[in-house]
Amino acid sequence: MAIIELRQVEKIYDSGAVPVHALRGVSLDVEPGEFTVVVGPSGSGKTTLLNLIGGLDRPTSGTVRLDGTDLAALSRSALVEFRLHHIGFVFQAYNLIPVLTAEENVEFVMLLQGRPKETRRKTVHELLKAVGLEEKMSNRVSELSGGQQQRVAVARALASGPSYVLADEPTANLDTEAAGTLLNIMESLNNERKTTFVFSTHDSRVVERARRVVRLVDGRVSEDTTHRPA
Amino acid sequence: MLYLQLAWRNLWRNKRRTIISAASVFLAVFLALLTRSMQLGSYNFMIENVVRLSTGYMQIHQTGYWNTKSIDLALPDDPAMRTRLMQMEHVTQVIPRLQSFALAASNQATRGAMIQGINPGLEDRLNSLSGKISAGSYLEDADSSALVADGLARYLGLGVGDTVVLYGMGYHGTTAAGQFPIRGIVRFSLPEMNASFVYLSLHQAQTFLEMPRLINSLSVMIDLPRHQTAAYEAVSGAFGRNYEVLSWQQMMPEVVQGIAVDNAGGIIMIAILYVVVGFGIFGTVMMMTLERRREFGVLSALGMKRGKITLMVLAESVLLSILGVVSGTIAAFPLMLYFANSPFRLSGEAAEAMLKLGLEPLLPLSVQPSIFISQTLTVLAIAMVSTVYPALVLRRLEPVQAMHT
Repeated sequence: MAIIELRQVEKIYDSGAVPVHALRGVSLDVEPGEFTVVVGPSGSGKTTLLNLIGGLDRPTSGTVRLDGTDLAALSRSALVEFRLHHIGFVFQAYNLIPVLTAEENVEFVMLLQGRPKETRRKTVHELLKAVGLEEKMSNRVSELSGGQQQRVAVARALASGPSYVLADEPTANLDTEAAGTLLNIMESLNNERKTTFVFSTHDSRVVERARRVVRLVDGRVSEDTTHRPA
Repeated sequence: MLYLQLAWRNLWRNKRRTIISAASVFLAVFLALLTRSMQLGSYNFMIENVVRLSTGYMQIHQTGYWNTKSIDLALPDDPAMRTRLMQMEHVTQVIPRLQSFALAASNQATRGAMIQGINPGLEDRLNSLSGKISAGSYLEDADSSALVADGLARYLGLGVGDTVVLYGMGYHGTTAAGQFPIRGIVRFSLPEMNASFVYLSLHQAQTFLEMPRLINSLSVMIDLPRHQTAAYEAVSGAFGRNYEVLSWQQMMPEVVQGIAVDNAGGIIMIAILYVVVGFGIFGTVMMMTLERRREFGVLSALGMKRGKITLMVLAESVLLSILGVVSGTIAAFPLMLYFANSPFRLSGEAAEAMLKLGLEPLLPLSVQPSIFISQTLTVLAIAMVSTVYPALVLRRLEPVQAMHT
């Protein structure tokens, strides 16, 4: 069963003088364990698509089912709760909490989930080790490089035990080496833990590693190719 | 715990702003504590004066005495009644008095005098009357002499060893006349008392006014002012049927009104101070909210509910206020404690104003816990009110828009 199901999804922004059709009848299924990249030129609807499958926005029409739940059935508050338990986010600008240390940032989402301290501690160690930051656990995030911060963000995204991780331009602010390290980590997490990743990116380095590439043009899926079997 | 840590660390993201905001709370708390301490201290002092020198916390009279002050409305000077009163909870002293007006005369002059028939030992324990002797010595229980207030003695041209003549109306229209050697001169800072008081032992006053074993008031003292209501109810319940039992507030309504008016003025001043501080805290919280819209959007995207984000902002605001409250209290408390034990002696117009009220021109400060509690609660309430703005912002928060701020 698909973990993300979009059926004839339209998204129209009508806050300005002219309504903007960001998505026009997009249908898409993402299966568990996929390593999928959404690409397309600026204004093609990538971010809107990611917002919808991240439960951050609702479609104007069509159906969005995430992990078996219809978004339309969830209240605003329930949607926040849904994101907490089902979706991990990695943002382009890292968006870590600057006053917390690396381990506290990773622990934070588990604290929101109300998980016991022992479990939190164990998971934090495990994840920071997996992203190669075991030695930097007690550092404030401002003391870490951009690549390290993004690795903390990946660990944070996984900490809640999500059904899938959405990464919005995760390598955009990283140099080649840091981007390579990050992609290696995400790829190995996908291989070893079967974590589902969905990226939005312009970065050819990410596209090269993807097993599935969904191309958006003018709010429509213009191409959906599988490079390598998942 | 992590929420509190987070709130605390967020507070120090902009150290300068936090220090300035906490300093404004500090200043307000410091000034408010001193102002309230002075006000409540002066009220307590005023009440203590009234209670010790004049009425006690309550008095028992023959019904109708307080309004008419008629010497004919007397009480029996009954030791059993005093014993019964002393056995009541919170009652610490019972002081019988016999008071009346008379003319005091010497061979040079005459003036109206307030005759105070007292039990010298009990009275001294109550208001340290012996400590106010400026010449001669204090009365003894079965004394046949008199203590004369300094102002009155000067007016009459009398001193220790001289004789004062008292002339007035005794019980049921009898003539009261007597000569009393002056044993001591007593000096009051209160002009009214200094110009008119003559103290006789209770027995001597009863003889002078032809009121054997009669008094016109029993003053009751209690352990703590806050027990007054309970003690009043007990005394009133026991003696209210046969006598009039009046609290000091009923006997001295002008003091109660004076305190109420002054207190209202003080509260208004402090309210203005806190409004200014409230805007300071609100400004800080507003800036912290506006600067962090993106961050709140991210927290919401990660699954932190708006209520929890609001609680975090509230914690920041409360912590900021606590910083100011604690530092303000630490700075004000030693001063309050010092001036509670060594009151200011007022001079000039302020002193005259107090003397006109019949009070010594002293300004002791109060350190009663309610002052600290009320200021702390006020500042915390301001901190809570100032989070209404972030709460409103968060209610409308859409993570997608906020993250693109």
